[in-house]
Amino acid sequence: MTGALALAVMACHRDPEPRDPVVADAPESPEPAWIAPDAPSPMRRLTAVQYDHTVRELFRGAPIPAVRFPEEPTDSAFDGTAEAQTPNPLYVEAVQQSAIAVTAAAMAADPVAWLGCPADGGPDPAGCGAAFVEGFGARAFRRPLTPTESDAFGAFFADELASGPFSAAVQLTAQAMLSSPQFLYRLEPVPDDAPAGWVRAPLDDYAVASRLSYLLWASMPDDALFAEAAAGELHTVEQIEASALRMLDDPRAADAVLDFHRQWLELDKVDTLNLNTDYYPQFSAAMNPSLRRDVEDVVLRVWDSDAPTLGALLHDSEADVDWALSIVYGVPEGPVDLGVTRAGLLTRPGWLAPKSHITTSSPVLRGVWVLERLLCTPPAPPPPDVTIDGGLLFGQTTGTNRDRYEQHTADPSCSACHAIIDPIGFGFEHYDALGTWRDTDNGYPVDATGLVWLEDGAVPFDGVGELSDLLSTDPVSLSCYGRHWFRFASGRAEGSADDGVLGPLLDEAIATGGDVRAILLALVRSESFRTLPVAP
Amino acid sequence: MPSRVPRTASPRAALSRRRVLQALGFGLTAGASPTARAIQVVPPRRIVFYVTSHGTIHENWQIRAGNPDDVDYSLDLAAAPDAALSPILAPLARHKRDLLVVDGLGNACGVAAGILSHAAGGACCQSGWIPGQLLGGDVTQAGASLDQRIGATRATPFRSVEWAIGGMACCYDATGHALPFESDPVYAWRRLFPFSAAPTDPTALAVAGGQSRVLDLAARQYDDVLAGVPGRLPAADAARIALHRDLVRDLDTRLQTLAAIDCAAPTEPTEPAVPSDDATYPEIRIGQFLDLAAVALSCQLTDVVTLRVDEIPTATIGAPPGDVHTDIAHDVARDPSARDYMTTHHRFHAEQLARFLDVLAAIPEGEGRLLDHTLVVWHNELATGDHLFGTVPYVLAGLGDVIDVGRYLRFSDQYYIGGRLGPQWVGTPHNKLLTSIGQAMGLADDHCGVTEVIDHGGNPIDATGPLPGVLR
Repeated sequence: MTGALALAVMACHRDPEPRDPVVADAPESPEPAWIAPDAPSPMRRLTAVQYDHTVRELFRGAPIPAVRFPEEPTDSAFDGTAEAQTPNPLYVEAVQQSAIAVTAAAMAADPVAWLGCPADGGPDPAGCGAAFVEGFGARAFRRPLTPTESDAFGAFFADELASGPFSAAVQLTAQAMLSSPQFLYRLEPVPDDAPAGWVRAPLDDYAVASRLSYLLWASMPDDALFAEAAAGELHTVEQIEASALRMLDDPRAADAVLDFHRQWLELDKVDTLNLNTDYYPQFSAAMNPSLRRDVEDVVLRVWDSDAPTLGALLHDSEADVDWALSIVYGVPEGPVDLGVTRAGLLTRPGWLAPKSHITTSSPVLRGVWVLERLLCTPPAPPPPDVTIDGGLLFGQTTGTNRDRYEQHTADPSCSACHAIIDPIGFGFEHYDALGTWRDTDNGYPVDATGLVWLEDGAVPFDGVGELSDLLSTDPVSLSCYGRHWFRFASGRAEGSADDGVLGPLLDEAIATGGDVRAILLALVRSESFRTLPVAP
Repeated sequence: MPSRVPRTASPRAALSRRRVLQALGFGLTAGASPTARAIQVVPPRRIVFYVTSHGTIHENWQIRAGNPDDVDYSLDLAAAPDAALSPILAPLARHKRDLLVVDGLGNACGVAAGILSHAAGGACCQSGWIPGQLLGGDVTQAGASLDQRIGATRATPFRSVEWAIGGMACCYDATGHALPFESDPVYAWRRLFPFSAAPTDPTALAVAGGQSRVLDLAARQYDDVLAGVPGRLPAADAARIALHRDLVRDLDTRLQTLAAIDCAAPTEPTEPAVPSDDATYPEIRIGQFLDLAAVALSCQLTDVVTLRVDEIPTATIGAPPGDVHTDIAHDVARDPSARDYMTTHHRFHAEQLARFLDVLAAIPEGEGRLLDHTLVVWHNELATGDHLFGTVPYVLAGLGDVIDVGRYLRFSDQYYIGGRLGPQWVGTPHNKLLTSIGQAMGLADDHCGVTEVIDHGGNPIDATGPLPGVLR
């Protein structure tokens, strides 16, 4: 990196504030020295996606309605970030309403598959209920019930059965379970018998099962995983890796991979896309589901391939074109290879359009995403009293969108960051706000040349195709992709205490070209995956 | 939760209130209105925060009346002609006797935060703390925002409600975490009136009737986890479990109270017939929320409402297609047309506020009006559309026995405050106004948020005590 540009990048980069370790005077650990004792393992709550997958698994085969949780005000990249999961009244009410809706729907259909008897309790309602409490309870809590729990929920069911219909007793008992911390949170308590002197304790096998299932499936463990936990077979690296390999071959793994990329790509923003139809008369909000599906198809196609790498995500050019995509891509409906202008996620309207303004494309929004999510160098927030972006009232009606932005950010107070952001974002200027390809903009030829700062310094490129080539192989982007997987898996941002885990993980990401399977296996092999810190 | 304050019946008041509410277009169902039982002998003090974005166009908001900028002064708004109000405040002229306009306060905490201005402004505007940012990017506060602190002293079914039409967080719980908003008036309504559609099916009835027992059993699970069954949790995790347990208990209490309260539901709001980018959409949505607020306050379902409003289509303010935030608000310093459009934007909010005050003034309560027992605070995350914090616009209305209304107050002190994103001039810390508001609502604290802010030269600026001239 050249001196001036290096300074500009450093001035623009927003360093996370380091946190001081909270563990003091930790005794010598029997665990490997490269795991810092203060690498935290915060308790995580099921995300909305995990909740949805879990209740569908719990109530096997039942038609479960979509549930509505409040949108948490979080700036974290991933909604499973523990520090953003503080409970609040809206959330607690949503839990109650969801439990009512889910259990009513599950009971309205034939409940035998998950209840073990018909909706009226069959010949032995009390016996069916007792078995339900133990069996369903163990699956809901993801471990066998303790005697205290068995007594409490068993007595509750019996009381309800004594005063009302069997169906209501089952629903109420299940609702109480779905509202309990053993279900909503991934509790990983330190065993009371943890040997003195330990700074990290091994997780019990049921907790490992849940870590595996929520990382690899975004859902609860299946029967096989429960059986392995019950047999104490989720303790060693080899055992955990063997289970992970089985799980990665299961169709449910696609759910977790999709959940990661939904958040990493900010795909939910497609749902509320609302471009201005004076500027984009071909647009309607009815197109949004298609734009989203197109990106999801790329992710799923790559995941199903032999090489599910970052490079593949940035180069896949196939599409299943429907009426909406046909408008944007300008090709007939049906499966098609779109060619080089649509190679990879960063060329798809489902990624491009939400990173636009409603009338114009935004090199800034697109460049910032690449900096944050592919280079892990988020720019500092803009200083006060400066114009940041956009500007239909900016006064310039001639020239290209790029011309406008270049004039816009010539201000010295802006240029420190925009010298880094905009040259990346300009690479996307062949795509308008909707993501339609354009050779000219406002009557002038599009200039999509740009500059991106990678491992060896500033590298020029022309268009997204060349940018994607660079990002597919450079250690900076590959390790950044791996770093986001760590955050997704851990429910927190990394800190200095994670160096021992991150090092091998990022090495694996770089060595494999960002192979998702390799990254996930590196995560589950790590010592911190099967241990947790012991607070003094 | 403490027991509710005893009420007295007043059929005359009830009928009058119903007629007034119906006349104002509340669309109440037959027999549905806040009844006399919802009126206390001594009405409680309520508060509504109406929080908008992009600051103001100060020259079109302020009322100078010949006074220079660099002196403190007070104007008698009640006696002033309507025409004396500024272009932005003009829609509020009919309520000038109930207004206290406060000019010259700055959001010093927002400057000191050194994070994205919109996020900092939202985090500071209602709390007075200097926010921090967690590793994952989330903005947190050192404690609860003022709305939550007031709500914590109330025994209403809902200690507070938080609604929004877009915008960043401004309400923070006692742990310093941002609270989510309800963004759909339909769900806000269902939350306030959960028993408006009772089930008839025997099983559904039994399920509905068992909710208190369900919540009790669930709450006991949180107790057991906290007690260490099985194993012990780190302190931070245990604190979250304890908070969740308390919220489950609160929900149980709330549902029991709501089931017993005598306040029939107004008609459930519906999705506007126009698309969200239609010029009239915000007015419809804001109106739905504020109408709900009036009923919720009148029935004492809550004493504390926050309505955050951010997303307004350009059509509403007569601007070309685009985005108010990025295409217009950012350009106010250099584009006269942007200033004109943003003047219309802020005036639009004054119009919504004026309509809400009409409603509160028309609802009889006790010996006066609901407005006499409700403080409405219109404030902002920023001072200007281009992210300055210097002079944030504040308009207070109502609660005239406590607030010295009918006046315009100008504070001229300016401080040069540093921050990681650069220093800027700001007025008297708005913490003082928040302190006054808190005291008006019954809090005893002599500060709200930080007690001082450090200026660019390293000198402390006192942020404690109430703002002079606000309280009677």
